[in-house]
Amino acid sequence: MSIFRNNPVLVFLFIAVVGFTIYMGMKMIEEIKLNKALNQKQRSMRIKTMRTAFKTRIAKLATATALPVVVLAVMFVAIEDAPTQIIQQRPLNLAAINSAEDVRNIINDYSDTFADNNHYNIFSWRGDFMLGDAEVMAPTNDALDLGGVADQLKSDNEGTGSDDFSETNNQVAGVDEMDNVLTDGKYMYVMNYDKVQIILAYTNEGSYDVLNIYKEFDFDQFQPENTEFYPIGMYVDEDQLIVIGNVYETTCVYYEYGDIITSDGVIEPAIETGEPSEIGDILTDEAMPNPDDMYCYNYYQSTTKAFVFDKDEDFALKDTYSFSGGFVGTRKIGDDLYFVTTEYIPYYLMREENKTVDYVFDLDEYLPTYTVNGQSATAKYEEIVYVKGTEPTSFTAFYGINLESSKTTMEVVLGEAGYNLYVSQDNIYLAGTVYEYDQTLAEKYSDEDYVYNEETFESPYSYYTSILKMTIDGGDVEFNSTGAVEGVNLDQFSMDEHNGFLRIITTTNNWWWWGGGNREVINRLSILDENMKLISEIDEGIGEPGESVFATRFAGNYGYVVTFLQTDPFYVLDLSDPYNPTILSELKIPGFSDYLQPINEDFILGIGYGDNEGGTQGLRISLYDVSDKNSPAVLADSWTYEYSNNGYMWTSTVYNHKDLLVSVDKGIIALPYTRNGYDETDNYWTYNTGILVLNIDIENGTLSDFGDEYMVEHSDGNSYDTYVYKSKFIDDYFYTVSSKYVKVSTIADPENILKTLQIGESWTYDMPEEVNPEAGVVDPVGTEIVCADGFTIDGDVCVEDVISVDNILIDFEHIKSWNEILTYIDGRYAVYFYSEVNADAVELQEQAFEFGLEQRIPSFFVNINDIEGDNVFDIGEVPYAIIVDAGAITSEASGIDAVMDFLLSIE
Amino acid sequence: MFKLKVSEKEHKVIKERLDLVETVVYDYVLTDDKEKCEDDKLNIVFNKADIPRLIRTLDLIVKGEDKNIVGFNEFGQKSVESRNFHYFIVDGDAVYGVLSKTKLIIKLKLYEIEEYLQGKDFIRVSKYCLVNIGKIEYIKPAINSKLDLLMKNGEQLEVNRGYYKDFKQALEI
Repeated sequence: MSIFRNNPVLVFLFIAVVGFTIYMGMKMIEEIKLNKALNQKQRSMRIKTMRTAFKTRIAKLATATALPVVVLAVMFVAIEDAPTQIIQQRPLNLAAINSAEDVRNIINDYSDTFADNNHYNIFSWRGDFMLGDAEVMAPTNDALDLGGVADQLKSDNEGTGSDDFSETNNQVAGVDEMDNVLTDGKYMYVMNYDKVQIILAYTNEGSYDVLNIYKEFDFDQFQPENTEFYPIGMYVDEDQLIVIGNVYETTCVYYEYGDIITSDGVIEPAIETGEPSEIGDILTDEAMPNPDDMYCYNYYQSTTKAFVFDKDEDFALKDTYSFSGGFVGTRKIGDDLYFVTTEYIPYYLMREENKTVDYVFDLDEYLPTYTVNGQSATAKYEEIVYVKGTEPTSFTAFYGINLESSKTTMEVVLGEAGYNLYVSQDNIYLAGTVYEYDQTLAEKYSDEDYVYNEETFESPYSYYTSILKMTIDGGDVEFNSTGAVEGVNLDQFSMDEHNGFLRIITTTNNWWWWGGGNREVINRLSILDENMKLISEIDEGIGEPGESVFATRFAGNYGYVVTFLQTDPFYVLDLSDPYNPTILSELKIPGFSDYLQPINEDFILGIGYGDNEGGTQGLRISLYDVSDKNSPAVLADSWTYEYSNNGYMWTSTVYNHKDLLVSVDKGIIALPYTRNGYDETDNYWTYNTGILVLNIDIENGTLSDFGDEYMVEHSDGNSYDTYVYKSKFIDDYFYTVSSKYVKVSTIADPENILKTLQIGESWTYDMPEEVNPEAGVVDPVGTEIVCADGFTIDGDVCVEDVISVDNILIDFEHIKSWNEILTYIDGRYAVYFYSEVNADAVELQEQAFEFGLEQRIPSFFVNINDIEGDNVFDIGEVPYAIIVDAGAITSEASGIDAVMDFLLSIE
Repeated sequence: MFKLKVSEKEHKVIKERLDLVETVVYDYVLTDDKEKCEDDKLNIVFNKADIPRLIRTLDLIVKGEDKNIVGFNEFGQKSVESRNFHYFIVDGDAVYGVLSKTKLIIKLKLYEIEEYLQGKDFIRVSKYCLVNIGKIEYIKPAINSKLDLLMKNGEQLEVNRGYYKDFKQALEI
């Protein structure tokens, strides 16, 4: 055991492994229990489940357990041989790759050690989990039709823009992140569904009066046939506008129509029956389906594309770049543009058992390729980097482009796919989670005679965060090193580079599911040096028991972490000595912040949800005072939109930090909001969306009081067709941008709209204008058209009856008196009384719901226990139903049988 | 829902054949002996030769009158039995109901769908997603104490922290 004495890190590892095994044992049990319960439940629903898969999965997973001793024995041997620790540092042992064969061997060797054939095994499962299915449906673009707008005359764009405008809310100063709404002081660039709109927003000469749509890009003109470009982000600087997006290739698979007439006479087109044709099928004239009877599905192919438009040439297209692989992220530093894509290698197709009859696995297909203005280049095997010991699941490609010369470099790493991208001025860090388990114990549990014993069950299952570091310089990308830390990292804000050191926060979870009690969670801060070697860490004290990290932000020598289970401990970490980080202080307040942003050295803004009674309640914006580093942080001020029965507010900022606008100079914070509420006077649900603006006074550390905030609304009435993007400022003017409008006001008075420009049309989920004239026609006798049930004649076509869901007025809380019941709305309606105590009544309620949906008269439901005040009518037996007309009960029924008949007979 | 009342030695065998789950609280009594009927329950007296027919009847009872949800796509309107939906999800301003390969736009809010389908084994897994328990293929606890649900149509969903308790309850754990 001298090893332990000499090597404290080894002790740490020992404890970590033991911790892991216990964790994995528990996880295993949890998984088994959950799926057993699922099985049981589905059986009681009389739904057949694929129990074979379940058994195999459990058996295989069960095999993936480890006796701590075995693992440790392996470790001792390994450690005695090599002084470097397995997890903490991965020596840069680069493998030589010269051909596809070398890559295949690497993959085979690795998978023989760790993986197995089961469909659900970690090796292949994780890949799907990270990168999604190849056959994702492309988003539908038909929601917004700007056909008319595109023809709009170009407005006069003379004039110079302002120098005072808001920029993208980037994580690192100088490292630009792509965004959907940008401004350069003159134009507002808006990514609106599938189009990019350039809006003249402000000139020094004309101020905001110039507001108009200047230009629009419809990317179909740049795309070859059968492909579609869907933008995902933009960059803009003095010279160019760059639009980045994904390219979808349209592949038509034909489905034939065959009408089905259902038992109640409704004629429905059979969309999903019929055999699809295969791509590559040669269709003879007879076999070719009638164009009216077919339609296409869009299949998504992983390609990322960037268009560069020259501002000096009135946004003429200058360069086009495209990259293969699934898009991971992008950054822009000055004139240098960087992209990261991942091409997941379906290694399991290389195994005999998994090969489909006609599929031939060709590794060349997965080599990253990029194209610049039509010229393509593919990665060469000799140039691919592989670090021995890493998991070879994908080709991750890093591209660097020098925008001036359009010179592009590519660096490809065969390794673990990452998904959290953090980029500093000098380096790209890509982090991802890697799972491992030990085959040796797998064998033990796969033995048929093995009897599962909950107590002795142990697992060698482990996971860690793997980090890939690439050095960037002037558009060049070069592999630097890889590192690994325990746990999982949350997002890009969990990493930060400072003076060459990488600080990263991760969370390890030991979840005890069934016994109640606390989850065991370890939140860890790790610091790695330039060579990605772990030099220090804090692995306790961050987070109360059971709490995991919800938000992190690093600022120079300090780190700020928010953990959450119920209260919201806000930790300040002192990172001034990278070899000795410490926890400075802790502040406890209810609720949690999902996103943190330092305003300046003394204040941090938090956006998240307040916690009033043990759950998350209400949107909350907090201002933390961290000026006194020797004392705990203080909550300087906060603004909360309380969650109530009548509504709640939500903001996209919690998952997209770029939607937040903070300006200390202008004294405002602005973010998009969506508010759902209930209007008690008129009894309907309300929906508002727009930009929320609060004043921030950094001198005094205050935010607007609740009630003093501004809400710049973009929704019209209760319609849902507006999607609010962002707010920006130019000079002293405040611009709010949504899918429908750009509105200008002043920063001092945001709600007072000076000018509105409509940039999008209203759209609703209307049925298509042309109804299939064949629909509903039962007996075309001469010129007379008879419509099937469920269809009504409209002119000379049969139009399907629209079932109005407005007829259901579902409201269980607000009916308190008989008076309300009898005067609920004007006109004729039905009221159905139920009591939860009476089981029959609850069951009948289901019928009543259906009745309400299918009938034409509005109906609502009242819980008998809610009614206060005098019983004007003696209800007697529940269920009870009445028809109310003009304040009087015109008919009624009491008791199950009567109500049943009643419901069926109402006209 | 069901209670099986047959002779003890046959109980296990018949229960397996019927693929039956007996519950403490039950509405139906299945028996081969009419003396064993219970007054306040719905009794089904069967002959052992009738077991295949009984199986079909039980299927019918449990699946019951399924509730229909009306959904829209670009081709028009369709009324679909709720058991065919894998899940309902809010995406932007729309609510989609996902069938095995296609999805339909539902003109209801998610909480309205949830209330309407009460008792039909749909469970909320997040603020934006309502899942059909019958369409879950496999449950996989993942990292960060998240639960991944692999659905029968190959898609994957996640159960949010805040909904764990209800999810467990729905599975009757």
